[in-house]
Formats: sequence, structure tokens, C-alpha cells
Amino acid sequence: MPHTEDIEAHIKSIYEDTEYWGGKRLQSRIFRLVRKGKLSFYEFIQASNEALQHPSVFDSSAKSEHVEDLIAALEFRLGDLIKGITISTTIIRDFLPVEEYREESGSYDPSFKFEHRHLEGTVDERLSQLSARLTEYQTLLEVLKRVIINRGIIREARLREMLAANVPPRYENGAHIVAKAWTDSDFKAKLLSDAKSTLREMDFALNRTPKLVVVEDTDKVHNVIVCTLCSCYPYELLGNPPWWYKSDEYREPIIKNPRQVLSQTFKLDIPDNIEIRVHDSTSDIRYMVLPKRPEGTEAMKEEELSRLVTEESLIGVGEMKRPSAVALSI
Amino acid sequence: MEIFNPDDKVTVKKENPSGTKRTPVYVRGKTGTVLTSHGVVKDYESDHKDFRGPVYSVIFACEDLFGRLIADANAKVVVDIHEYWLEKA
Repeated sequence: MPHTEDIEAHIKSIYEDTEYWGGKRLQSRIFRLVRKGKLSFYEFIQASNEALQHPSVFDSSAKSEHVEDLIAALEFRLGDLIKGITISTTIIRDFLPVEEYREESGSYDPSFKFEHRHLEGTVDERLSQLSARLTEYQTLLEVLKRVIINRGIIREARLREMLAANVPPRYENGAHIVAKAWTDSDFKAKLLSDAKSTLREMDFALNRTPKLVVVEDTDKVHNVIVCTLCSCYPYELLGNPPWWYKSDEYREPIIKNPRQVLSQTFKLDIPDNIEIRVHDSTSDIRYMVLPKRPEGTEAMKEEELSRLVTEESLIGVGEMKRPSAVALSI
Repeated sequence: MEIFNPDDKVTVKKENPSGTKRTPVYVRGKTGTVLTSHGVVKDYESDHKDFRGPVYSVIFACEDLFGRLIADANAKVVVDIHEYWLEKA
């Protein structure tokens, strides 16, 4: 069974994200704001009375017989949670600045570390624990939102507007960039030499990405992206990576025998004479693949071409859609 | 200024010379070739406020890292490494 269909690994991945965002990015940040005297727990107690009067902001009662549906519902709620945390903490950062470096956030010091609360039991039990955990963090986020409204940092209407307007980045951004590079050689040259400032001109603000490198597939080299140390990914441009991107089943074997992993797990066969180059995102540089333009697409326009590009192809682990499939859908 | 240039052979130090924990264990003590010199890349948001100097993309043959028995013969791994981790090979 390819690990991309592995339910256990999928649950684990959602659990880890939930703990990362809810635990590390939300809970520990609140703790830090209190520790630094920027907010007080009393404000949270006050705000919670107000926030809990409107508990309908999220529906935690996904009812389905199918594990896949339950997982999809959790993933959807996780996406909402992440979006809410990102927006709220950006607002807070501007008004209540605290040191954000990793020592301060407890990443390296075990005595500062927040313990993970693990899931136990059968798949059903763990899914319901995960759902409860998400509800906890969603509720906490609601209370935090109420606190910053009460503080007068932002007006409620404005915050609601921001949450509604914010369109999270998606891999389609990458698809458009790839299609433009296929059709405009000047753009491609600029993209390959300095992706960040080239994309800024296309209105992609990558202010939280220190450097973006676009690596081009050729007749001789096929590129693949991984982060063996954690989960570095061009989030700001492409949104969240596919869930398996962070799994050990991907990260460990891909650097040792990429050809085999591509073939067995992703059904992507790269001939032996093509060098496979795996980029391990170990520093502050983020990577995206510029795949080869498929044959038989000479007559296609940029917009049409962008629909050929898949999320997997931007990581170097998947094929493009077939031109015929895209042409039919027009 | 950067000490190394593209195509230079470099060896990764075995011991952490202090600072970044992000040089993966699998390249320590190994020799590769500088693919790209990025200069100083600074992350303004996270912890990387300390000066860590220039960073390079260094390319290694998978076989050199993991041995012929395991590794793909025509595969390479590119790792981003800070200058103070590197020595001329």
C-alpha cells in the first residue's frame, strides 16, 4: 500500500499539525504574552464568557460512517484553525510585540517545552480525541480574538472582514508561475535567477520567505524537494504541503533512493540516465520545482497550461495532467 | 565576502562548530561540491537574528552519503550549509 493511502499516517499527520498550530503557535504564544505582561489570564477569563455565548462558529459534529470523511472534516477544521491563528497572531505581533526567536519560544530548551498530549486507542477513539483537541484550540482562538477586540487592538467587524477576505495561498499560485515560465523565456530567466523579487512584481508578497529558489527540470536533471529536519516548504506561496510531505516514510527514503521512492510510492518513473537531484531545505531557503513543459502542448495558452500543473509536480514527485484531460474540461 | 565559489570541493565538519543545528547529520564529515553561493540569507521572522554568515547549496552524490548498497547511482542530494561548517576539500 502506498503510504499516501495510509490512514494511520494521515491521522498522525493531522495530529502533529494540530499540536504544532494549536500547541506551539497558539497556546505557547498566549503563554508568552502573559509571561511578558502583554496580556493577562484575567482578560482571557473575561473574554471566554463572551466568546462561549456564540459557540456556533464551528461545527465539530461531523457525522459519518466513513473514516475518510471524518479525516477530511478534521483536515478542513484544521485549515480554519491555522488561518485564524495566522491572522490573529499577525495582528497581535504588530500591537503587542514579544521576542519571537526560538529559544524564547521554547524550541531548544526542554524546560520551556510544551509537552505533546498524545492520542490513544482505536482509530475511532483517536479521531474523536483529535476532534475534541481541535475544538479546544478553536475555542481558545475564539477567546483570543475576543481579547484583542476587547483591548481595542482591532474592531470586531474588521477582524471578521480579514478572516473572510483572507484567501490562503494554494499550489495554483505555483501552477500559474510555471505556466508563465513555460511561455515567457525572459520571465523564466528572471525567475530562475531571483525568484523572490521576480514574483514580487507579480504581486506575490513573500515577506516571510527569506529566499525562494526555483529549480528547473531539464532533459538531464529531475528535481525533488524535501525537508528532512522538519517541514520547510514555500508555505507563503503554495499553502500547506500535501500531508505526506512531513511523514518519515517520505523524508527518510527520498534522499537515499529517490528513483525507487518516486516509482513505488508516486508511480513516477524517471529513467536511469536522468540525474535525480533532491533538495533538502535545511536552511532559510525554500524551493519549488519548475517542471518540464509536457510534449504536445505547443498550441496551448498560458491559462490552459497552468491547469496541467499538479501540486505534486511542484515538489517533483508527480506527473503533469495530460493535455487531453485539460482540453476536455474547457 | 564568501570564501567558496561554485564548483569548489568542500568537506562538512564533523563537530558542530556552534550555532545552527540545521546541518543534517548525514552530511557531516562528507565531501561535496558547491552548487550555488547564496551569500547571507537572513530570516527576519524567526530566531535567525544572529549572524550566521554566508550559506551555500552543496551537492553530494547519494552514494557518497549512504553507500553503494543503498543509494541510487545517479542521484544527488543538495543541502544548504553555512560557511563556518565547511572546509576546503
